[in-house]
Amino acid sequence: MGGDCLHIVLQNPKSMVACTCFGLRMGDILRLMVLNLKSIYNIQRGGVLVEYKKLVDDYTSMPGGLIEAFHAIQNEHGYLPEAAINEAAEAFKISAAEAYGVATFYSMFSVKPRGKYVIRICRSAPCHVEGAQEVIAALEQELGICMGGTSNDGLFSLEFTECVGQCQERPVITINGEPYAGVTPGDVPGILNEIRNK
Amino acid sequence: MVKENRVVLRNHGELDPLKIDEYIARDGYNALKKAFNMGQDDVIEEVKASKLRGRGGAGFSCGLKWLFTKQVEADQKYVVCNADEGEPGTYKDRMIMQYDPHTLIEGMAICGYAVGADKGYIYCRGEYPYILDILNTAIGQAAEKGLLGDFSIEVRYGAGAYVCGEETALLASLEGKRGEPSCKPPYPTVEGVWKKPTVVNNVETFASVPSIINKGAEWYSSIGDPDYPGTKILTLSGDVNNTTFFEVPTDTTLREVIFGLGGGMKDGKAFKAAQVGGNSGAFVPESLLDTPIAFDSMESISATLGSGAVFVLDETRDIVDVSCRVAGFFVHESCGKCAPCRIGTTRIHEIIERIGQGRGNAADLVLLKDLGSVMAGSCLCGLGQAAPVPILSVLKHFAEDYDAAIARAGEVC
Ligand SMILES: Cc1cc2nc3c(=O)[nH]c(=O)nc-3n(C[C@H](O)[C@H](O)[C@H](O)COP(=O)(O)O)c2cc1C
Ligand code: SF4
Ligand code: FES
Repeated sequence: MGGDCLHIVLQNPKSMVACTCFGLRMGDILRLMVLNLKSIYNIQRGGVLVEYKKLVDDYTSMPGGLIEAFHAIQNEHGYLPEAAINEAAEAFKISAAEAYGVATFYSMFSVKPRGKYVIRICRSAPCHVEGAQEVIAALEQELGICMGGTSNDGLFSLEFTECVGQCQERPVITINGEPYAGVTPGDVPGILNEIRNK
Repeated sequence: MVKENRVVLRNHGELDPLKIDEYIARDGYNALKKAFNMGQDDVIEEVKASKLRGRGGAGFSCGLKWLFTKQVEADQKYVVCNADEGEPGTYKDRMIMQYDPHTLIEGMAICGYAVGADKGYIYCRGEYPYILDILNTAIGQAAEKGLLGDFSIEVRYGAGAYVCGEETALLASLEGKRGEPSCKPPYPTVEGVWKKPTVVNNVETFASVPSIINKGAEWYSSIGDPDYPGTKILTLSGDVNNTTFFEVPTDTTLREVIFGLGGGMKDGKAFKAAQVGGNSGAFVPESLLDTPIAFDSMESISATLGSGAVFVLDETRDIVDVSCRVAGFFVHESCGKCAPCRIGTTRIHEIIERIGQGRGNAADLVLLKDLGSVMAGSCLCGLGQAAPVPILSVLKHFAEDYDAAIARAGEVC
């Protein structure tokens, strides 16, 4: 409730009247507004203040640059935080709903936090028939998580993907975009250790 | 014995993709210079006469597309390269961009000159981030040497949506929107990106152009099938010995591809089926393997050449399971804009899953066929229209596998 109300208020200050009708006191609303301003800045990496706006501004002069801006945000933060999407919407002069619609349309964008390393497993038919399922089982077991999950140490997330165009050797996984072709279940511990030791 | 004929891939492995001088030493950018001297109309005429047809799946005449774009009066036109390459089992466009980017850039610049466009975009799938530097380096080198005239190219990235390979969806994505297809007409040649006339061609199509300008339309049109001449890059996966890529003349048959270049079936097993053209292609049985890969001959057996992926299955493969996965792909990739596709892909997948789990019955097969014909006729874009193709081809050529799965259900009950 608080979050929704806040968006209404921020986009149309007159709606404060409506909110007060719903029983929220003016003080509550102002407190929520301050909270939201804070959430535009995201405190990450040991307290460094990161301003999404800076990332977005590099792309506003590029026609249709919203998707490129999202790539930049995601490269930096691993996902698209809500505040960043709102920031982008404002910079590109579109509604928050529209920006969110773009963010959620594309399977490589995530609006939820993910691990530092995103492992995607190709499940398209050519990889499927050559043991993608066994590689998935090995990854799930090794990390103690299921597909779609993130490991407790915040290092790894597991996601499905369709073909990533590395089908010369199958099955294929990618780790933060980098392809590993012809992966066997036996390769999995080694690959994960290599990443952990980075 | 069938042999490769490397036209598009003529430089593959022969040069360092990041060194423009090596490309120039191999006749690089001569075609562009020649095009500047020929004049716009003659370039288009040459491409038309070569009978080059799109390598992205639809097989439309490349020269005609350029002509239509040139004919429209507009203050700005665009050239867009479709590098979204999403058909499972396909990586030919990546090979071109990764190992010989200048061939693509030269082809796009020739197109830009011919149609009167000074701005080009390469829309590359988000799954190929490692290609960005290669493309940008190559574009920078060509521009620095002043080879491109007033033509400039910008690389843009998708973010994981197969449907963005469809040209109207691609252009929407290029504009920073959700990649949903729109109704045609208007075609991009008239109203493309930012409503300006736009040529959209596949990477392989553009990469075929420099050789055509250098060696002439007559040379090109004499290679392969007369109605779909030239070469096609194929990528083989599945149960053959050589799961790699080949560039062959278009009159090469599937049998020559699988048993010749592909080195035959792995472990001496028998052939069962080949899905040609990617996830949206038909499954072809042994009896039709003598069909040439050319666009129209594939169409004559209700199959498609598509992206040129050839996915081979041996006798031990469970084709109900494979078609279930194929159907699952479309559930994931349907953009959801129109109901027949959004719901139809889900229902097809659901029915096949049920049959595979031993809970199907004979009525399910009728349902699948009905659903297929409704979707083919009512879905907005090629994704939904083609989604039933692989399933219907399996029901036609491998009905006994489905019957057996359903009979097993009878035993369970
Ligand atoms: C669902 C769908 C996906 C497509 N994916 C691609 C693709 O990845 N690459 C491509 O070049 N064409 C793709 N196409 C075909 C394009 O819409 C278009 O016909 C093509 O880019 C035109 O280029 P061409 O004439 O050089 O083939 C796709 C079509 C559909 C319906
Ligand atoms: S057919 Fe499918 S992919 Fe195409 S517009 Fe309709 S829902 Fe979207
Ligand atoms: S099918 Fe898995 S990478 Fe292409």
